[in-house]
Amino acid sequence: MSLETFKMRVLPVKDKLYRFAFRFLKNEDEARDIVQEVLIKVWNKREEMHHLENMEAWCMRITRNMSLDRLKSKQYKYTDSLQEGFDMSDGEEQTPYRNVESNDTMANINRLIASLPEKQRQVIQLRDVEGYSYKEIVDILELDMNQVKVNLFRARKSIKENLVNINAYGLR
Amino acid sequence: MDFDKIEQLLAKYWECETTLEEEQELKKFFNGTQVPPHLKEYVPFFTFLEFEKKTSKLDDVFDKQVIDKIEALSKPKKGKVVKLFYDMARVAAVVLVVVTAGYFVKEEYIDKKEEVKPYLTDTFEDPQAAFEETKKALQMISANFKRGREEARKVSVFNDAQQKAKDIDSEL
Repeated sequence: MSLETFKMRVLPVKDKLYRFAFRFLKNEDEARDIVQEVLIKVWNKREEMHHLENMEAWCMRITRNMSLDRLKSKQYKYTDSLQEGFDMSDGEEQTPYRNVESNDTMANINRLIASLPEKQRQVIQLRDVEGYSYKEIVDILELDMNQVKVNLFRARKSIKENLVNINAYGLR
Repeated sequence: MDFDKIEQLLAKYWECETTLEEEQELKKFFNGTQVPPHLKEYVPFFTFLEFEKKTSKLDDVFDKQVIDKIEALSKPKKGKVVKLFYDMARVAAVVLVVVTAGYFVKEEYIDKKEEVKPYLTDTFEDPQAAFEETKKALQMISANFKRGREEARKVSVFNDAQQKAKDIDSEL
């Protein structure tokens, strides 16, 4: 793989990797760091890359694994997803998008997704934001098809309920 | 716009039965301007999905950093040679020090040891020859000693004279 091919084929994936890493780490710099490491890993393994069925899914999987490693190694104060859902002030602080913070509705949805249990959050990120097929999500998350579907179903269900509630009662 | 179709799609979406294309259609619809009031409650979620994709990105500075790192990785040979040269220089310096030190040790210690040798080791193979040589040496000492004694006898003349003088002195 030449540097040109790398720029054409691998580098454009960076935003997806970044968003995915961010969902885990909730920190812009850390996510950035992880994506850089992943891309360099791809470069170092460039000779083996053409054996891969789906390079993008592979990158996403590596991003996920490295993010999880980072969470473990740094002994992140990784709050339980249930607590996260109720702890609104915390959620606001971690919001990455300064322009989103100004936009109340966007911040609410962001918080809503962030409050989902980890697997549901990952699945909805991969499916609804990034538009991956179920097969690809299975590859990335190393889950079976059934688990992916169940998690997506639950995630969408709680989002739907919350959207209806926000609308009906102005709850946040 | 066919709202019935959208409602059907939405129902399918919450049941996780939509295809990626259908989900794309939903996103497009809710990000558009023709959303009827009874579906407005779902707008924030679908706009968020698009918004997240558009805003949460890595900048060009990141690209440059990655490319720089990769380019640095691609020319490892030069670095290695330089490193090897320094390693070699270090080894050479140590060897030089050891050799120099060894030379001086040899000068100071081993060569002196050889000077000491004649006094400590046998110089004759044949015991008879050694005996003759020793005898010769002892005879030389003896001859010299004899000559010394004759000289000493001359000195004793003064001694006798002194004694006689003392005797006469005491008689007076």
